[in-house]
Amino acid sequence: MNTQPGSSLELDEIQGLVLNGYRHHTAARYVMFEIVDAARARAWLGSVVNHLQFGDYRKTPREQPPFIRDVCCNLAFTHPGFAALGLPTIALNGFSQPFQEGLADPNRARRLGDDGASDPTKWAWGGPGRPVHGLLAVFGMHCTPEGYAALKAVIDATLVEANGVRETAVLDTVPTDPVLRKEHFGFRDGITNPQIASLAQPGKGDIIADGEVLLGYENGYGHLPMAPHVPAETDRAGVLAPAVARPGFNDFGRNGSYLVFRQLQQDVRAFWEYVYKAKDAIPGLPAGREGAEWLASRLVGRWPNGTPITRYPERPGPDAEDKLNDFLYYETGDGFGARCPIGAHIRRTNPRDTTLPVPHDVELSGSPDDAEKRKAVLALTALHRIVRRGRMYGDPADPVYDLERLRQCDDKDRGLHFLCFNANLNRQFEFVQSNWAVNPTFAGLSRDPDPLLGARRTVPFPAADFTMPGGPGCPTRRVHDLPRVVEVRGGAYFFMPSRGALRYLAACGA
Amino acid sequence: MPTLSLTPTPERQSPIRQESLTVLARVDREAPLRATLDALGASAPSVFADPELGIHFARLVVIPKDGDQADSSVWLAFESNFDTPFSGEVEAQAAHLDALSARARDTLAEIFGCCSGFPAAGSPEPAGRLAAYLKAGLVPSTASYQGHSHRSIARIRLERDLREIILTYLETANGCGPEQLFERVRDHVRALSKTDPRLAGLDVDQPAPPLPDPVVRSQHLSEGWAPWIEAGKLKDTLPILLNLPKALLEWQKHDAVFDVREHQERWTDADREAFSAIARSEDHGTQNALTHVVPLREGSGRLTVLKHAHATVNRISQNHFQYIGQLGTIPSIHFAKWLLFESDRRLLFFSNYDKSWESYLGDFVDRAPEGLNLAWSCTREYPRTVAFAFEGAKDEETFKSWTRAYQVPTQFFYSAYTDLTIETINNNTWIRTRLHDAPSAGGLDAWLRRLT
Repeated sequence: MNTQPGSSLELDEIQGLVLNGYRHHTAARYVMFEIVDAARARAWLGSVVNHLQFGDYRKTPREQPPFIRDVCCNLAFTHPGFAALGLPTIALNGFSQPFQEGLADPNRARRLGDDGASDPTKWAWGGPGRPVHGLLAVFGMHCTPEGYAALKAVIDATLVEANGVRETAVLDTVPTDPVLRKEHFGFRDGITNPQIASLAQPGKGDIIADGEVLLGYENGYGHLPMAPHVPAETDRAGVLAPAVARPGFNDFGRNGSYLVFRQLQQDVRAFWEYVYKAKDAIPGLPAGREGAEWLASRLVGRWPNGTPITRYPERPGPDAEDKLNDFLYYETGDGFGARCPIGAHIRRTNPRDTTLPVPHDVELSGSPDDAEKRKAVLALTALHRIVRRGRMYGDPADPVYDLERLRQCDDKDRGLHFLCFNANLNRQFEFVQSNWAVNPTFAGLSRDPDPLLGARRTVPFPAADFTMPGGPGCPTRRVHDLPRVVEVRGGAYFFMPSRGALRYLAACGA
Repeated sequence: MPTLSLTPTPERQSPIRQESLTVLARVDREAPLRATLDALGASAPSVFADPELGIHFARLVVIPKDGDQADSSVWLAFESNFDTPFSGEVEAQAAHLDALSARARDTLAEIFGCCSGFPAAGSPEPAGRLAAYLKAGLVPSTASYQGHSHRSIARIRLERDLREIILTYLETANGCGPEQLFERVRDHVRALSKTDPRLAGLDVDQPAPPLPDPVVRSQHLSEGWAPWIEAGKLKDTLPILLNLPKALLEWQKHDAVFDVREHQERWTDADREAFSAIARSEDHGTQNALTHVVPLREGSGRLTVLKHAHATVNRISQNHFQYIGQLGTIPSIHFAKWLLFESDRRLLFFSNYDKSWESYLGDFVDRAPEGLNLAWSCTREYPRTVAFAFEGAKDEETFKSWTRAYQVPTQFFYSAYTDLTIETINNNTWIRTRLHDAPSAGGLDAWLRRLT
């Protein structure tokens, strides 16, 4: 393991958002834009590249230069966006197939569960006929009216037709409460994020290979991910690294990463109304708030304060941040889901040491008592991780997330701008979404979709159950008729290129 | 002589097993055939859902020509995986084609009417002729696998409903010791089986229908070597096998392998449309159908080696994997088979698998690369193997791209239980079996745990 964090990554080349969620930049705005004049857009790119935030500040301790900027800007493009800028066909074809086809592709939408109200044809942005070319993400230190006005000024000054680009959608965010750090349903969020190996702090457990996030580095299989190449003669300024083992070509993808952007609208009232109602069907559960909190915590896998159910099955644990992500299921005595149900949101999106494919079938999946087996499972689940960078939008339904008030809250538009980075869209984001989250047969379940993301998807079949496996003295319990509490309102697959790739684009066709 | 009728017999009493068949026919009129198959997919209920046919999965696929061979043809492939009371493959397949020709005559006549040599309309005894035509097109598989062998559709459905009934009962049951809970569940099921049609034929006081003992069957694992040893006695194959180590080294060194980048950078609109057509046929239910067609590599000895490798895979599959619900350690296949066609120059693979393609192919790469290498390394552009069985499919992006590149869309796919995975079917059987033959005290916890 590398003892000098970041030393093997080309930090000057990697856009900052890939490496860092900019937690101290509490204000953020995302702007989708279209390229209307390629020549002007390329000139604009050339002029803004060096004003974007790259990862160089991570080379030194925080108090030494280079510092992170007060306003961090990052740029990403969709496949049509790269085409509009004039990237050669050979490179356009070198991107991964999901990126080329786009998030709104109908076959992809079916597989990812984007149907009904979430169907791409109904999206506010990114759907068919409303293509997005690029994303400008802007982050500032101050979530005050003046702070947001400053972000707006940055955007308004640069995304102008004179620069060959035109805004198509502006997405605002709200800061997460710095103490509670909860998402709209009222649960502490942003706890679990794997660390890129070269940047990981020593001793932290949740680490994935650099090439699981960044092109140009070895992935979990020890291979370099497929990356787009360009003929070396088109790189006249020599801003790209030579392609590995391919003379005459340069690597356009190196130090870049695929960015998934989904606007997920949350129906907070429907979630809590359901929980309050469904809890009454479970024998022995306390009435009122206490029972509702108990059931909702099973659905999520954490108590509202973020403490994992698997460690604290009866009541919320102490709110100690460093312990929130530091657990495995079997090692907590919960190999079969008697504490944290197998179908709970956080368990199915990151099963950790759960013995897949079917934990309760030990003949098939092996016994969780077998340490080798658990090690193998952890190695397999590490191939399906994503690095999340999302932010909330819309005002919280209640400032302190009181359950009774969430249950009766208004209908205002609120949710999560879900952003995640990965190097292999098929094997990482899409796998987690389609095989783990919305799949009602995940891990030997029969009709249990992700209670937050997946209820009542028409494909593979409408499913709306949630099963809580039994333990000693307590039979397996189920609740039925889960509502859909999250709908997709927009989305696109982006690629966040390296500094060199942006400079190459700026000179494209010149 | 067993009767053909599958439905009226209580599932417990009938010694039903599963069998599979594939019919191949050369296509004369491709456009009307494709139109017919599209319409078939849109029609409900499917003719293949007829309970008398006992079909688990069926598919119809148009296989394009091998563009590199002047004498290659367009083929129609029909696959059915079905229940049969016959113990022999030949009788089972003949009886199934007779039943299909009687019960799905118009549909099959319209489809195979687009194929070469089909008897002209208006001939006498059309049913008999249809059956004869289909039988003439039967192609044996070189290796095959069943994920839940010896369970009829009736049994699969009964066990699914039984599990659901037990879980519904548990939802409101009071907490008590496992022994007491087990007895209460058993009493509940015993009472309900007298009135609830979903449990017709179930008698928990009788022993559960037996399944072949996986422990005994796994002792047959070593039989996988038999095809090579038996073949060694044959004069004509012996030289090839003796020459094998040398040939393998040569192949390892010189065989052209799939180059993801080279293919991808040359993608045309036609390639994109081909990928799109495959994607359109996927992810409509829990199961998917994979149809994969790849020519054999050039050179003498490939066919012999492939046949032996497949015989090995087949022996192990038939004697071991089928009884543990995993092919290699892949748990997500209901039925799979390989077969050779077009003068043994092309290899066809059919698989009825659970969940998404990415998940299935990931299982291949992560769980069973050696078996897949045995099955495919004699075919064109397969990722480079070492000593025939190693590496190969482990090259994740290359293996997945190779598979996709040689995949063809499955025009029509029928499943008798679109909501059930292999894992669930086998788990349901486990729960049901223990309900008959009460588990030991320690086993009770495992039984309750399975109710998830």
